Amino acid sequence: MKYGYYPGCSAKSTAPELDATTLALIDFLHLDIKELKDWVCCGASSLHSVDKVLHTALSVMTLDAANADERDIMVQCPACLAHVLEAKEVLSEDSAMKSDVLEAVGKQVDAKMKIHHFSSILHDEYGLDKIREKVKNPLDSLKIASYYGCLIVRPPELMQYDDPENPMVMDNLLSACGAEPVQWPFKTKCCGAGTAISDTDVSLDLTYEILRMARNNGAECIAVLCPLCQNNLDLRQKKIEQRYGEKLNLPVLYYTQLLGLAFGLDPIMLQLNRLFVDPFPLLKSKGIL
Amino acid sequence: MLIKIGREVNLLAFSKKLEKETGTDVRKCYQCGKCTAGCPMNFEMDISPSQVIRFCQLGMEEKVLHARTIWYCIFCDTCSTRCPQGVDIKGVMDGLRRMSVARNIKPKSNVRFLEKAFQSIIYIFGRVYEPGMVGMYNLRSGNLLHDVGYFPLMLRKRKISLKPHFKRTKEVRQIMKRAQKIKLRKATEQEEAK
Repeated sequence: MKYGYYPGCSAKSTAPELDATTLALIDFLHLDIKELKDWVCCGASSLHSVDKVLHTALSVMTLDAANADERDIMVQCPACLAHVLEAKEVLSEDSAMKSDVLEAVGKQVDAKMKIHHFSSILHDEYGLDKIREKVKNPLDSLKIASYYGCLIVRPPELMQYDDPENPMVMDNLLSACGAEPVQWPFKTKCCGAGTAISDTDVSLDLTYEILRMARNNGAECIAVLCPLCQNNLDLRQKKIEQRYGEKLNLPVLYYTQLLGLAFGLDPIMLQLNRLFVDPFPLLKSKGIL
Repeated sequence: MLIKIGREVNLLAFSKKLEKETGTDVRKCYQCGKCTAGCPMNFEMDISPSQVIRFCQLGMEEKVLHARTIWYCIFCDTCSTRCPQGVDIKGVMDGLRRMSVARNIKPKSNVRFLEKAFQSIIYIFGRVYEPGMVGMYNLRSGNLLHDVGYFPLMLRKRKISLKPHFKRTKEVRQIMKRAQKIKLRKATEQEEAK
């Protein structure tokens, strides 16, 4: 296992806790994963509607950065993951698209590397048994709704992550840490983060449905892996409560933060204080902190 | 709903054009409606996703390129994943959006301003810089104070920084320029083909 870590723009700005906890877990589990030196923006959810060639060319630059570091790619952000996988697919066979993209990049780039999400690496390569052994501070009786969002599971042929309707990777990781995953129907329902800036009300509607469904199925908090979902569910939760006149109070944590808690890492290192919905009262009442 | 199909409609031509742009053949759709049933955004749309595909089959280009629907798809891909016929509905929406932009049809949502702002930010910094992007979006959309209320909170939690990161900006700009050239070349090729 030798991976180059592709954090993506969000982990370096609106999701610093995702970046910090990823590095903390890499360090704690002694994984051979180092940040890629020369990664760039993947074009996110905006550029493909503007220019498909440009959008793919940007991700090809990141593939090139992995080649330079002689590493496979480990990704945390689902959007970045989708786009580097897409770029790899474009490079894998000759097409007009491939020649346009390489012309835009300005050089030949090979795409033989493996590309995986961090949660798949922990789940499949590192293994649940080894994770169970590392748990010092079990998340006993914490009822967690794992929320995957749309990009990590779809399109399934490309992402190769897990069942697109009922993924279990995060649920399994968290139950290995002693938590009680909640089974609920909205694991992969879209949170509308793509419209959060341009049509805020629409995304508030979608997010409210997700939060309410999680709570109605008995969740005490939500585990996420996507920085955009996290922001949408957490930062805007207060506004949702005002808009619908309903108290939700569901902390939204990254799965890396929850794993870190179970491994007994320092809560300051896990940056729980950066969340907008305060998770401390819940974690204290469960005896986890 | 009664739909009138004009005499000028060429049933095959538009499906083929779409297939070239998106790589998916809309003629495979048999109108089961699964895409519409699972679409999280259908409450914002004027015509449903399955209707968009039907209009495409019928060659009703003007109808779909002017639809609100193509601007309210959020590319969550639920439709394409569930389609029993393997039609990439999301890809069609994306392609229709690009075609409507190419024809200078006025977008039905502000999301276009966000796409533009995003592109400029990547050109300048090589990576996303949220305060700049929201600022630029607000200037374009005319809603100057949009989301500004979150700034102090996000600054306090250090979730945004005032200082942007610069990364491989020179190369990113070169790529953007070359991609633009390719786009123009293709447009002129298409014109000539006509």
